[in-house]
Amino acid sequence: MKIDNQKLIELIAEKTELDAETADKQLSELVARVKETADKGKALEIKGFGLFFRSRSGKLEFKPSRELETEVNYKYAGMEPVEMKKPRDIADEFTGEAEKSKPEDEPEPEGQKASEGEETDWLDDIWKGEGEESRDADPGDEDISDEDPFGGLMLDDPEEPPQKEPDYSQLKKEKSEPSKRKTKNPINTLVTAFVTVLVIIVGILVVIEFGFLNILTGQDESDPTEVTQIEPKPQAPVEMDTEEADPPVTEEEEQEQDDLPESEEASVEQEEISEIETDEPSQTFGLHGQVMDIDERFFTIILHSMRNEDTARSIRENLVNEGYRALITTHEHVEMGTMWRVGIGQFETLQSAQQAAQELPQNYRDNHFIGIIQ
Amino acid sequence: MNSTFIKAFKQVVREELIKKNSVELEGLGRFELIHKKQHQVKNDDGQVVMMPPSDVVEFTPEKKVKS
Repeated sequence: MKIDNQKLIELIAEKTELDAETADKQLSELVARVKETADKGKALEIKGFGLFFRSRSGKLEFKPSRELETEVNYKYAGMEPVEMKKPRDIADEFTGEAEKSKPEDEPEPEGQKASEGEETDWLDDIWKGEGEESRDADPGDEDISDEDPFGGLMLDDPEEPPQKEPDYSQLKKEKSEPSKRKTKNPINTLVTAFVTVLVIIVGILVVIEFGFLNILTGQDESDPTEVTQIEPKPQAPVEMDTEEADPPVTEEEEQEQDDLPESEEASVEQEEISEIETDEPSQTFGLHGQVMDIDERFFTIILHSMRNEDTARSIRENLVNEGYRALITTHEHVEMGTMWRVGIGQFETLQSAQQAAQELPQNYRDNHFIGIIQ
Repeated sequence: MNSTFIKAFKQVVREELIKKNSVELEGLGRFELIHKKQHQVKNDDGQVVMMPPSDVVEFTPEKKVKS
């Protein structure tokens, strides 16, 4: 649909208390101002919208701001470019792999082509096929499969067309037995080994960092920092207990026994404290819990859009009972009038909302969008 | 121009663009939402990168504005 000046003024007047006449005047003032500034050879910036300026050839141009760009592109938020082929100096070492992903227009060495012609075909076919198929299709209907680099990130998940299946099974086979295909590639195995070691090290660090091993370390060598932090209260009752239970112990033993439960309790206490600390910031934003008053704008996952307020409210109640942070917003639709939207969760960024939406149950995951509340 | 107008203007244009409507400003030009499919980009160093699909705002100036 095309929104012309008149419709735009109507919409603006609807949004504010301005009457159509003022809005009209303001709009023409804005247009005049943009032209005037551009004619002076300067750029006019509308904060949070974009930049108007005249290019060297005299054409008026508009560069959308970061905010506008991301909000308009919300469907594909968080998608990063995927590397298909390494830069040349590294790629030369991966001869087999590099050759295959090469586009057709690039000349290939004769011998390589002859020996690996078959393998080259399937890959080219896939990329070609995908390109052609989705050329006229709607963005949401683009082909999704496990080999699509962005497949996991897409909102919609249409079924894979059956005629393509043989291609993928072939591809999977190839991938599962790379050693047969090219036995002389020690770099691959080296890289894999290195990555595995790295993952293990990171895993250990994370485990220690998050305190899963707190109790263990506390027992092994009662960490001085842990004990000193929470000394006053827990110490007294613990001492009493051990003395009453078994009085005939030597000094050394008593100390040892003291140490053990104390450090255990200390570490437990610390865990409790850290839990409380981490709880508080996460309550402002999140999927579950109570709806918070947030002054700034935030994002929410909108699951339902109703024309009837009562239906929206009852749906919200159900969602609250399921433990979600459900809220209702209204939206003025051009043709349908007021829509009551039921959203769940409050998120600081679009990306976090997107991520949370992916983890929702199937029926919600397929049918939602991210809304901005401001 | 007052700030409420600018704020509403920004909001309205953004919302309409998200609905895939084009917005035309008389005397200035037309804003449109264009979908870019995923495509491969080849860098000078031989690296090939697959760019994700995206929706971008495109502005076409009105003929008169071209000086």
